[in-house]
Amino acid sequence: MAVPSRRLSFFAVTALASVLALTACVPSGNSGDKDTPSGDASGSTQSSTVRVVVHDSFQLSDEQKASFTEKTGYDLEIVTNGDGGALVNKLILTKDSPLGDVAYGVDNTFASRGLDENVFAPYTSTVEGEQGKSMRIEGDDTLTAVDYGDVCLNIDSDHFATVDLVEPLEKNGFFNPANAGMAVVTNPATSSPGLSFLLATISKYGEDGYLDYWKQLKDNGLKIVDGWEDAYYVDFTATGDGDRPVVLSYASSPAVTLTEDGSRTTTEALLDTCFRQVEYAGVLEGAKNPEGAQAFIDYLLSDEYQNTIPGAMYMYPVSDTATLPDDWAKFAPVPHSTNELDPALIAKNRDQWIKDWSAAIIG
Amino acid sequence: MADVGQLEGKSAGLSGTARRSAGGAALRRTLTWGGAAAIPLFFLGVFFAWPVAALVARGFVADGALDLTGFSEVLSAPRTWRLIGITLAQGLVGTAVSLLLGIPGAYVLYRCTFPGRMLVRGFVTMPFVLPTVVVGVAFRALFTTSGPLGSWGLDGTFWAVVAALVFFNYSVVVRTVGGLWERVDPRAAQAARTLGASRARAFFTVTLPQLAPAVASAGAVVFLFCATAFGTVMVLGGQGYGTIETEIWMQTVQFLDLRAAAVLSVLQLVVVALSLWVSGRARSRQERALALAPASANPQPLSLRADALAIAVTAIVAVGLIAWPLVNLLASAFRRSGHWTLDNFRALTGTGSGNALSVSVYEALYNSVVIALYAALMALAIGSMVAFVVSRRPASAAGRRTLGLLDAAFMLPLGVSAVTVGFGFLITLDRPLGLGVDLRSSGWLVPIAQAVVAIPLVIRTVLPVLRAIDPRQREVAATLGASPLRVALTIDWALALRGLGLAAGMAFAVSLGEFGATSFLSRPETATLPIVIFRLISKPGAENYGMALAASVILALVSAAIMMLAERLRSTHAGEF
Amino acid sequence: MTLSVDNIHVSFGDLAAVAEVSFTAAEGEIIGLLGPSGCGKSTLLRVISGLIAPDQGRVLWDGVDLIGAPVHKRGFGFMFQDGQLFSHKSVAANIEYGLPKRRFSRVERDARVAELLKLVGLEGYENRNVTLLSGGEKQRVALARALAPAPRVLLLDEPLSALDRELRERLALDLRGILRSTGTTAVFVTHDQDEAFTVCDRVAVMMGGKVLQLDIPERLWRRPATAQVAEFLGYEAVLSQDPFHGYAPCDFEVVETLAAGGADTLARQLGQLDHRGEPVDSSALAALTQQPRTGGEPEQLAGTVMDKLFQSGRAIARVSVPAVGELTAALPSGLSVAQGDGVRLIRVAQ
Repeated sequence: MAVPSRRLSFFAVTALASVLALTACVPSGNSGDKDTPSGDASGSTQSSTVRVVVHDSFQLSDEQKASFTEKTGYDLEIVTNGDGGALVNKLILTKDSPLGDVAYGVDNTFASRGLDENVFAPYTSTVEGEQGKSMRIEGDDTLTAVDYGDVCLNIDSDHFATVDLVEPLEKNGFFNPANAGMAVVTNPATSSPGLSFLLATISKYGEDGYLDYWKQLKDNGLKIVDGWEDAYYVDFTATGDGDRPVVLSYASSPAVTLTEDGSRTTTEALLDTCFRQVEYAGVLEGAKNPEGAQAFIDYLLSDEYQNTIPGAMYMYPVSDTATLPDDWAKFAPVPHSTNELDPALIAKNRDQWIKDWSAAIIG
Repeated sequence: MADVGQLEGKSAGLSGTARRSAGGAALRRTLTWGGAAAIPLFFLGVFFAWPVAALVARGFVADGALDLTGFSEVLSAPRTWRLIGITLAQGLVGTAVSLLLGIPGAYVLYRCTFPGRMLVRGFVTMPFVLPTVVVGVAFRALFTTSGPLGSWGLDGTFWAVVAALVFFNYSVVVRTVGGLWERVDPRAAQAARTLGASRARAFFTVTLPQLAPAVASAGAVVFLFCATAFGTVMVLGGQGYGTIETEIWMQTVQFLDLRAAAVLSVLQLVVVALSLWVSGRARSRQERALALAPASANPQPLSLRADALAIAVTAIVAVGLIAWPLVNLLASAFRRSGHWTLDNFRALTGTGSGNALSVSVYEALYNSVVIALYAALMALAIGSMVAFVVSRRPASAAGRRTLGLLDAAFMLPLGVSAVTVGFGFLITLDRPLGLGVDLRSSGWLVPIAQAVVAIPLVIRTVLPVLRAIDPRQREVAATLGASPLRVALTIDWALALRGLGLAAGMAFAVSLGEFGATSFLSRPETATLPIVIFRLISKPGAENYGMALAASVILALVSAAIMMLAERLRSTHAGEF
Repeated sequence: MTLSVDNIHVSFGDLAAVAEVSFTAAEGEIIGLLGPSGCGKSTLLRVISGLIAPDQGRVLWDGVDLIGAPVHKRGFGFMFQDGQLFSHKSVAANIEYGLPKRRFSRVERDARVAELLKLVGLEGYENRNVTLLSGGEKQRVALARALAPAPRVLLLDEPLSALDRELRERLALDLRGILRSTGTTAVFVTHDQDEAFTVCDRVAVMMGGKVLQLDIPERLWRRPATAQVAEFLGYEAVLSQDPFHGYAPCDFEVVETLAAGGADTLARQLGQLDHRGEPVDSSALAALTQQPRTGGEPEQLAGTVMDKLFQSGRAIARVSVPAVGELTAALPSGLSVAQGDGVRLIRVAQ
């Protein structure tokens, strides 16, 4: 009959030993140097570190990180903070004690809110190209465009190849509401592509007409879900087991729905329905290391980083000289024209539009 | 006599220290218990109460003055009342169904023995740790019009949400109630049977009241989980469906309307406090030291005939509600572009198509395990301290009330929106307590946030065990010269260890699956598995989707393994009981 | 080195559980606290041990007031009714619980455990699982555990009452022997007077929170201080308190059956009934019976048999005795009585 306490202490010792073993390699923010979690916090006081606040889609490889440090002498510390909307709101909440030195991932549908709250400090990068300049927000000298992408309706090409449509897919240069029963989109209140599509309809039909258009969509059986992954992987016929051959996604999505031999794509974007999202970076007001922040923005604009944007973030690079991957060039071309709205107008009315839309369409 | 005399010299040294005043003793007792409560309270205060209070306060202060107009505005909107209604209905129905299905499950899986029992136990706990996004997608795949259950018309309805909530919380009920059931003395129910009670009557009049503390405990936890569910509701709820929790998220994250969010947070606190009060009343009415038998003392082989109903219910739940979505998920993890393949699992060593991730799935798994280990250790240390203090039975009514409040305070994190806590962190932890340490970006914040969520589960697991300890065991130890610390270590701690094994498993699994708070705080290099899964599933491409499913399968397996390990740990010790 | 309890008061709400209790135990003395359940004896024991604090009063050891000293610093052992062995520890680990590692080496501890197991008659039980011990063995281990730290005082709370009768009687003797041989001062709580008288040097009878009488067993039995004490000790009738005159079960024996109506006649003769046939006052009867009788003749009483039964190996009769009440009297073998018979009783025990 074993005396229990012996076995207990054996367990305790084993547990303690494993804890100690793991402590030696606790994942902390910075790879390599100062590897204790508490050590990171004090890092911000040293001007040799740049702390970058990003949305959660941001990607930077270890090689790129090392390259940045090598070129500029600054260490990088990356802090993720939710999606684009959440990021701006967090920056506003913490403007008295900023989360970092520089922020990336604020898009044109949310940017103005941050500008109104003076979250960013002025900076114009010397490496900014022509396209970048054209994407600057009018009257603003703080935000630098880094990449952009278009939210568009996508269709299951294979499906439409086999079906004879009663009504044309598009009408008056936009999606034909008569076919809404085939489509699934996302809620503008909960999803950022959803908001973009709402803005596209406002751009197309005007503040007076967009709700009528939506009502037609709804009457014809449009399906609305909360999240993009839900629509794309559950309801869309091409990528899910769903019954909707039209889905709200990105202009770039067809580049990743290739047939096995890679010769063609099984989906296609309806380029007339697109709304452009531009993602910006900006130095934060009150940054401890503004020089490092500026250096980081310059790095984001370098082709070394710009070339990796399509693969890592499914967006188009803003650089004039960056090259697109082959699949993108072939299957996901940049839409020539796109629906646009003034960011200041968006900032002013967005919440009201979403509330009006919710009241009229969701009830 | 001579050898006794030799000992006397050693014990004579006691008399000097024994000279203390009565006031001194009371003061010392207060200090001891106060001290034991102070550390957990400090932790809860800094990492929960203060951040939440600070964010809510911002909503009520406009231009430096207190502004409570938000209340009238939000409360006069019919939408608000619809949200409250849905929240309550979702919480109550989810809890009721979980209890209804879970209690037979507790009986079959804990009170009875049958081959493979451990495996089934591990299996039913898998859902508990799966990321809500993945579960949402798995359930929608069943309910959507073209899915196998499409004809039921459940897609986007209240019942789809309830089904998923029961899927998640079934194991909470089974474990909490089962843990007590396997040690309840069966003779009381046997006595009732000899008095002419039918099996059903004996169950409802004797066994169920015996189990009441565990049922109330599980009910409270499940209600909080159900009423504050976020991911599941977003995916499955359909349009127009919303709860206080999703509305807080919407108002804070989307509209930055802190005024409305603050009012909603207060409403949420009211709902949570109310539910804790109800469950506290239910528990204290039934509370007493139960005569607990060792788990191994009442083995009862499962009888196909006598236990038919319980077996049927459990089998239907296990197969229909748990296995089906899981198998569906598993099958999808082994498929890509319509073919059976291992590609999704092979891809886990990489970072997704087009480098969708900063870390590979295996690195994320490692991060998850290490972070969850820290979180579980913190939760265990703090949770068992709280359970220890709360398990006392002070003579005064005021003392008992204080302990009741302390107990409830540590349950709050389960009922308060992760968004409120996360945003609260941002505005308070830049200089916590005036120290020059910006905790907001510290690697420690993730395990801390997970620990805050895991602590209530640790308390709920350990407390019943501590409360079941006969207070005279402690008294006899004290009369043998053991100091309060030694009593705590050699009696409470030693006896609670079986509970702690289970609590450790729970805390670990909860931390492993935690998404809400983690998504606010984690950094790309230290992304946990649920974060990585979410990131994979939010990007287009069959490879990313397949990897997300494969990673979910791995997460589910790891947590089931850990739960089974914790279970084993417990049963070996209980066996010596 | 004496234990003194000085004017202890404890109340729970409005209920006075212990009131005005004082006594002193000499070194090595075994004091019994005897009383019905709810009389406050266990509460008093818990006050002495420090498990509860009194509202008023002092507990002194060697003249030093211990009120306010925590339980674990008093050096008083405590033994519970159900032993309260630590089920997660072995027999040896239970016994050595009170022997702190920093004061006793492994060798000392092992030796002490072996010595105590021998003392309680459980040699070689060191590694047994306590849950598999019998009731008597459990209490022996509990006793060994309580004695291991050589407590200044051992407090025993009904340590034998959960055991069956034969074992209880045997263990009571063992317990006294062990306490005497170790010279342990002890306070022994019980509701069983035989147990108290067997184990204790002096016994305090407690009722309603008060000590009604504290004396050596013999005097306690001979001269219960009050009718309440006498009744609790088992007296069936108390005729007078000062000087004490009372009857315990089987103090009398049935000597003959009487013809119909003979009981009343005899009762009149013996002064149990007055001339009108009414029972006399019990004190008047006491005065009568205490008058010196010729030739040391034993006391006699007349009564009517209510029932007869068999107890502890002998036949007894319940007899209704005018002016006294119902008495239990021994029935000699060979004497046949029936319910309703008049009988003559004579006193056989003093």
